[in-house]
Amino acid sequence: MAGLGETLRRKRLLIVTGKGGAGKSTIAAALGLAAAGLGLHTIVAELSGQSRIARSLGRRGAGMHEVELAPRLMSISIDPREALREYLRLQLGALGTALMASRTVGYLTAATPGLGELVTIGKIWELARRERRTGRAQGYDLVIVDGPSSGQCLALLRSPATFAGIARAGPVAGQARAIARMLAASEVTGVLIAALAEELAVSETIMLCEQLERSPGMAIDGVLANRVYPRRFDDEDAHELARALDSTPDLPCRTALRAALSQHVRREAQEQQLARLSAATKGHGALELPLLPGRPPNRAALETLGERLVEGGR
Amino acid sequence: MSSAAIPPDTRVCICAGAGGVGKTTIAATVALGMASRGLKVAVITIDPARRLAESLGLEQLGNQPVRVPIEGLRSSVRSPEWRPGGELWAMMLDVRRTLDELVELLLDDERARGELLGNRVYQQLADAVAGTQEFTAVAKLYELDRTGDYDLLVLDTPPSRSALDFLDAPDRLTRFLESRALAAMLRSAGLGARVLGGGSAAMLRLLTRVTGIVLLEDVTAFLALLGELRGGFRERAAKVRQLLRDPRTAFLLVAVAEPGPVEETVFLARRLRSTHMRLGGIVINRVHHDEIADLDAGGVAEALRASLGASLARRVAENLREYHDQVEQDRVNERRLLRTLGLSRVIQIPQLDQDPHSVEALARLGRFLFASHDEHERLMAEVVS
Repeated sequence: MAGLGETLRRKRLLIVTGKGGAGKSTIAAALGLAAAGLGLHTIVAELSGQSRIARSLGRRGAGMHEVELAPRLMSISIDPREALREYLRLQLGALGTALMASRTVGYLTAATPGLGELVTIGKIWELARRERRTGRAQGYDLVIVDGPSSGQCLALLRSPATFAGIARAGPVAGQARAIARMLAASEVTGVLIAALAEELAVSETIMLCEQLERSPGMAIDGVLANRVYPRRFDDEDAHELARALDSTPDLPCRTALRAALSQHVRREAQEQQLARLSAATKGHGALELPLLPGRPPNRAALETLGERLVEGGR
Repeated sequence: MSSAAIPPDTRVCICAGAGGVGKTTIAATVALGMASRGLKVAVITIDPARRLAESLGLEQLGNQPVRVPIEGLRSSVRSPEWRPGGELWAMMLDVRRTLDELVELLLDDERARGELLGNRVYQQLADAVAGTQEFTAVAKLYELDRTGDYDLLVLDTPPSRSALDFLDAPDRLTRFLESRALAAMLRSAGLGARVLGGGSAAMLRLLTRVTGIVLLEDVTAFLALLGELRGGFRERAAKVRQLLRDPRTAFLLVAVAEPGPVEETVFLARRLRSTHMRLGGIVINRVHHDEIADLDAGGVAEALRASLGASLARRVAENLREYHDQVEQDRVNERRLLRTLGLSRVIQIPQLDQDPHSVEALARLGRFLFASHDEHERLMAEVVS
């Protein structure tokens, strides 16, 4: 698959989703560094409220405050309750703050289905606007979202359209429609799917691709196969390794041979899954990303990963 | 009938942990292991990717348990442990249906029931509200426990970022239903939507006016209907809470030896302690293991050169060095987990070449889960020697 350099330059909003544990945060952070490196004013938005990306780059996160991680790279951690507070404050000023202090309102908003998703995507929309209402006045060139996992991400992406349908009139309905329009504009918004070259992760990715394709305007800009092992041994090597194992009594050597054989088997299994991914993405293939040393990876590792994401290659 | 993973007399085993650590697989392994030891076991999964169905060789799973054939397994399970008469049942939680069933069970008034099931807010509840999945999961667990049909229930918890939601679900719902705010709203809804009185009703009106969310009326109607469920829900939530704290309910925490999942496990274990829920055991899944104290990769390359040739021997040594680094990293993370929680042992499951995709593979995985301490050491050593 080709690199994501063009995608980073062209889009204004990129949402990274995929299976839990597939490395969405790592990929979002690496993309953020890469985009900033290309000269784009970028913000990486986390939705977990854990500020993991800021922490992995050695900064303390500050929730809804936009924090600088590197030149041209900011981060934010969006919490639905905070996003609602901010929204009401913008709409109503002091009255909005008073509303949020009301317990009734607290319960009501917690009970309103999809409101959390709506205000979250609303905040993302606000970040991606050219003319911001909060924070950096000139707006960002690119917003990268460290999104929720597959199923929850679909709910997030669909929430504005759902809401526009049920809240017929008023400012919320109008804004929900505007957000829905932006999400459906494939020249503005893109989705990246983080996958692992494992059977179940690939199945989940294929399912998500199908669901996204059924949503009008949703564009999948890339499938990223994370933690792909290097191709270190071929079948002939494996044959040699198995033969050596039969005649080697030494424990470290046996461990080395077993580890090598295991690496070969696992790499082969990944190969099969990469082929399935390739078929599911209509031959575009998945961008293969190497297993990074260290968990969580440090800045240097993230930068290397970012280069790989921009340049592409099998 | 015990193992390091599950204390004896456990009737409910809840597998919890960070996302992507293999909870579903571990839940299936526990269930299968206990079934092959003669118990009638049901495993409940919340797994949209149908992982459990796949590995159990079933086309799909529904909201009622179906039986999984395990008789062919006898040879994969060590013979002294095999007990005949066990049964394995599996189901996948259907959140919406479970919620509907609960409403039908708890709401006597037919008109109110119809109105609630037709309410727009209710209809979206199943996919939209965080915590619904968690609540229905424990509700289903309680339902199955009450039938007394099973010796053991194993629950695979939702892949939520914070497993806390799961523990809190019944309490949160009761607190809400008991709240004064709800009572005020119920009163105002009873008086008719337009004649709201009191501070909170004014707030509600203001919120509706400035946001234009007509939906708030549906929310109010929904909450009023929910009010009719109050008695039933309260009782139910209390029983569910009781079940979670029952001495025969044990939590099995699942992690991998990485900082994030370890952090989540520490958090969960502490939370279990502070809320008087029982920690059964901690499983570290996909552990890299070797028995090498001081790695001499150069020596290995040298020793293998004669049989493999210089190039291949060098690559093998390089691979071993990477593998050994991984082993040491895993050890550091595991030690941190043990030290932080003051525990002496976690159950390691080694990294396997393939994810278990069959009942047989799950049974092999089960050998690690159910082994005694000594046997476990022997099994781990076997993996690399």
